[in-house]
Amino acid sequence: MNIKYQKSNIKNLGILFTLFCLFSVKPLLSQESPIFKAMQDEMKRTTGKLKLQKEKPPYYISYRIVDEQNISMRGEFGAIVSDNVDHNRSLFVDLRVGSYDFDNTNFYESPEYSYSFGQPGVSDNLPLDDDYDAIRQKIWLATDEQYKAAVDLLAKKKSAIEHKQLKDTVADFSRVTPDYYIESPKKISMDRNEWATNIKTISNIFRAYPKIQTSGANFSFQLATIYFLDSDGNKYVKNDINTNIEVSANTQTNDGINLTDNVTFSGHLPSDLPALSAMIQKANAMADTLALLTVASEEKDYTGPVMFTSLASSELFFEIIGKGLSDARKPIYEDDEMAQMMPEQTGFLADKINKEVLPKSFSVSDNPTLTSYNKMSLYGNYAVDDQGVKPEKLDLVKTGKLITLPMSRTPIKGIKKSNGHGRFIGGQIRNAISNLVVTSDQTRDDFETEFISLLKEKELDYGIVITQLAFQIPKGRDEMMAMFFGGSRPETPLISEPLIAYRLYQNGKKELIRGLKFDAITPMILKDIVAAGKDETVDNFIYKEPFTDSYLPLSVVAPSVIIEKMIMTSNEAKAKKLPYLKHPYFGKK
Amino acid sequence: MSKYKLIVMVLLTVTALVFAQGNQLLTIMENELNRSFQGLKNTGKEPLYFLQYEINSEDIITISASYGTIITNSHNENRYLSVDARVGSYKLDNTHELRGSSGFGGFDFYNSSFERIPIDNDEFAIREVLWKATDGEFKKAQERIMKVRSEKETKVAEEDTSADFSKSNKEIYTGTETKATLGDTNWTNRIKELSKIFKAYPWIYNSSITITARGNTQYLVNTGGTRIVDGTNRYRITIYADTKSDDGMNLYLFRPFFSYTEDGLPSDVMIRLAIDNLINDLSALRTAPLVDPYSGPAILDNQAAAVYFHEIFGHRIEGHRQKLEREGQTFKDKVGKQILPDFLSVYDDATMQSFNGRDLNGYYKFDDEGVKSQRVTVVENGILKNFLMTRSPIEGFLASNGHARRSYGNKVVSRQGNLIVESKNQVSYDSLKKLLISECKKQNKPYGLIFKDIAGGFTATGRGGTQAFNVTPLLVRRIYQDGHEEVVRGVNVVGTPLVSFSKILVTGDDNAIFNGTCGAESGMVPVSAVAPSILTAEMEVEKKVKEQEKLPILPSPLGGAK
Repeated sequence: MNIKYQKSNIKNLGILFTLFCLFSVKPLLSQESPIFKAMQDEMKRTTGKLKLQKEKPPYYISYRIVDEQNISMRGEFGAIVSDNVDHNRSLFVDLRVGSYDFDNTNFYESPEYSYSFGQPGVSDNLPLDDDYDAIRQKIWLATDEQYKAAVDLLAKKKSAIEHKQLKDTVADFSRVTPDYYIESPKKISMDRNEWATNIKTISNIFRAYPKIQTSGANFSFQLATIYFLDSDGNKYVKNDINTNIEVSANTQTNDGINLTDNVTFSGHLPSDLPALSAMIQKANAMADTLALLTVASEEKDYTGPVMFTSLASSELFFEIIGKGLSDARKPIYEDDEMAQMMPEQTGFLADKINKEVLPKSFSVSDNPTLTSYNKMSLYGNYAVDDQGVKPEKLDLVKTGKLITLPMSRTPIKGIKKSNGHGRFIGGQIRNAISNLVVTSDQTRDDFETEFISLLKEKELDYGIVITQLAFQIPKGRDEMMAMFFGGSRPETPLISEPLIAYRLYQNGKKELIRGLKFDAITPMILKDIVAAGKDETVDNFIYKEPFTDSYLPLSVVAPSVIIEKMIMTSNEAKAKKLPYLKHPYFGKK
Repeated sequence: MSKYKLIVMVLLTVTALVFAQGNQLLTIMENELNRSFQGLKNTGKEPLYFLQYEINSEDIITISASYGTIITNSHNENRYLSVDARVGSYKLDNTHELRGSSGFGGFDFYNSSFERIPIDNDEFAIREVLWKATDGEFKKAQERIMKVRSEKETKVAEEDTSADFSKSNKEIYTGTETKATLGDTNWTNRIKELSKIFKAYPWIYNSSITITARGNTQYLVNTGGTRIVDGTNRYRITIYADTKSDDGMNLYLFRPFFSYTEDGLPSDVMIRLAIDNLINDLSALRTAPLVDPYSGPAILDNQAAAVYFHEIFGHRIEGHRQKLEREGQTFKDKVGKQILPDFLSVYDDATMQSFNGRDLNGYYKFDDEGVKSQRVTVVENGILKNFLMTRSPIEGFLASNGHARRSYGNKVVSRQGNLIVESKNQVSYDSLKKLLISECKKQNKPYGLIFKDIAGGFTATGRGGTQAFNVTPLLVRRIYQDGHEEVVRGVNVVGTPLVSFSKILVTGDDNAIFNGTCGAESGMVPVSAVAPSILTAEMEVEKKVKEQEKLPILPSPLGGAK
């Protein structure tokens, strides 16, 4: 792309200019597209001929080519820190040997000396032009590499199972009726200069907050076009477009405790984001709260009812239901010790099918085909999942009981088939939610009154209300493995600690507090919900794994809820010395 | 207004703007430096006695092509900050070596982390980052000096009692800021076209041609009064190709071209020649026999000799390696003594931008402590004279000679710039070969080795391990007593440095440059080494660890069976 060259020349000349960056998706990808032709031809050759002498050929192959264009900018205090454009194409080969019942996947081998970050079957730096020969050459090498790795892994898996005398009765891969989906190409015009100005404007609000030490606003835009073909006959082309702004700020209390807060805006197209004025308003509100937090009193411990409202309620449901149902297939580890060292941070509700996970009044659905819900835009939608399967609307929980899971083509005990919820993240397919909607048929208008009467009943002066959690992305298995070999034990809490919380007194008075975390939580915690509000909060967010630099756009809708009794303890944040000198900007005034 | 005038005016505006901006960033840095120093010098338990800000602006264009298509096309501009805060005194400060440190493999991980600086020259956005980074470095310095003092109490005295920091001249230099530029808009097409050549060679698995244009600007201010703005443009073209031998050994070769100007880059004809040459070499390697462990006479071709001197010799004359207790200090007590054959002299001269008309990558005006670069005679007629010095003194060498280098975010250590080997015992390359054969006969060896390309290597200078080196030659030929040659593969050169130097018999008259990037504890820095081909009486090689992967099962889709 020559946008960048223009950018620097223009900057040098000091001329104000508006840049239009026209991302044209390649002309319609028919059968004749060189990308598909290269994938098809190499797949044909591979399925027929690729085999080592004493081994079987692959029974399944998929090729995924991801063409990704990224724009990322960061602004701090009204100035642009970085402004980068990137275009790359990568190839991912999923190649399986063995059979649908038993293959080389769902298995982690013990790394021999050091953990390698390279993944067989992945090829970066694919040609950016649709050049048949050059792309096919890359596919050929990646396939060969992946086949050898798969054969090796299958042998190790067989031996591990024999050695451990495991009876793994769940199949490794499920069959699907082949599907075909070709999305019409989109053209997106992006005014980079406008977004740079917006980022400057948003990050500049912090000049009004002397209590905040550092701050910034990140803008990111991704246009990914994904080409997929597999040997079962699935084929698709789809565009995945995401635009995000994250505004964050850091400071310290007077006694040196670090505080942080953020607000994010997510949508597919840049035009899906709120108006600049609305984003500024929210960023200001965030900064106001953070400034107030610096003088908030520290809560040491608390036992009693907790209200999750605003973002905190959808975050709570994501942490328990969203994480609890995702990435549900537990792999076999070659090394028992390693298996023990890998905390299960996801999929912990998978064995609760037909059991109550919520009160009877609650239902939960997941529907990837929704783009809005009660006039609120949703963000987790897709037309076909990352394995080419059309998604189904799922009733996950009915009258409090877990009915099913979002499923990829990797079966789990009790659920054999995909329901179109296979998502490609962290270099592999995982089952995941998309648009999670939590409803209750017993919502109350006088929700806050209900909370206060609960306080009275329990003879408590005040109760804790949480409006935002310090959401932590659970670590993927590859990241855990890397940490494990780096000598640390990876853990993320079941529910992240509160970012914004306050005391609500019996007389209705509110008082911001800080310093609490949850204690002794089990995945069954939601059964203790005693009331739900009439409100519904939608949280559109990008689920981003920093380790693998991969992401999923997701939405969670939920009402405010009250959990009858929770135990909270001090997060034991360590104080750090305050800055010696005053902030150069605020100090001069 | 005529077109001419307009162009002149635009040019003037550009120059003025760039100039003004340069001063602007430096002024911002200066303002915060002064405020910080005034505010902090008497604030902590130990006084802040020196503070330095260095900002490296890096503007990089990379275009890479393979098989006639573009695989990378990026342009990124970033500014990185490195802060150096010293508390205590010149005699003893927070940078002092911690002997009991738990670092990994003897490395003391006292490295500052880098911060990104806004690319817009907004005073307070920039000062906010400077302020926060200074505060962090100052606190770390306060903490570390306490450990330094406590080690002084609890551990035995160090061998080298010289101070931690030396005074240095104040330098004021206002050069130009620079950006990455590619004037020829046709580069994309040119490298696409050139990369197509590989299509005719299906046995090559991966190949690429990459052009990189960099614009680096150094902004440096410190409390010694030094103020520097200096910009450098660099251009590089790299040809790369890899394959496997029939027994599964990974083989790769590359050919780099370097220049400070776009005009200095090779023409397409030259690049084509280099590609053909690389393909020929790679083809020969692929079918070459595996080397047997061998010890005997060898020639290091000029570029390979340059890498050899950089690795085996150059890293051992870096000042801090004579001082730190964890270092092997190979040459510490050898000053004034003979360490190389008397016909060899070595100097490091970062002031040289070119050698015999070819650009040298290791050139710089000021080092990362703001000290002017200079020529340092390290060895004269085989006798060790000097070390490459930073502002950290060592016994007998109290001042910097401008060799403090780092990539952003790291602490400086002494590093090479342009290492140049001069010989008074030169013969033509043909004679050198003849001498190799007679040396073989003398030693009763069936053949000698000729090393053409060396990819690099590593050298262990620490005390913990053996004082050994290992370099990875990419292309090695055997030359038999009857004069015929054959390419071999799978070679590693091993040995111990002092022994190795003493075996050099004679050199060629064919000085050549190796332009590369050197990685060490202070990060990656551009370097050059210049040397003639050398004949050595004994070079020891061992078998390289071989990958166990088999060849691809199916032939390349680009063309029939090999």
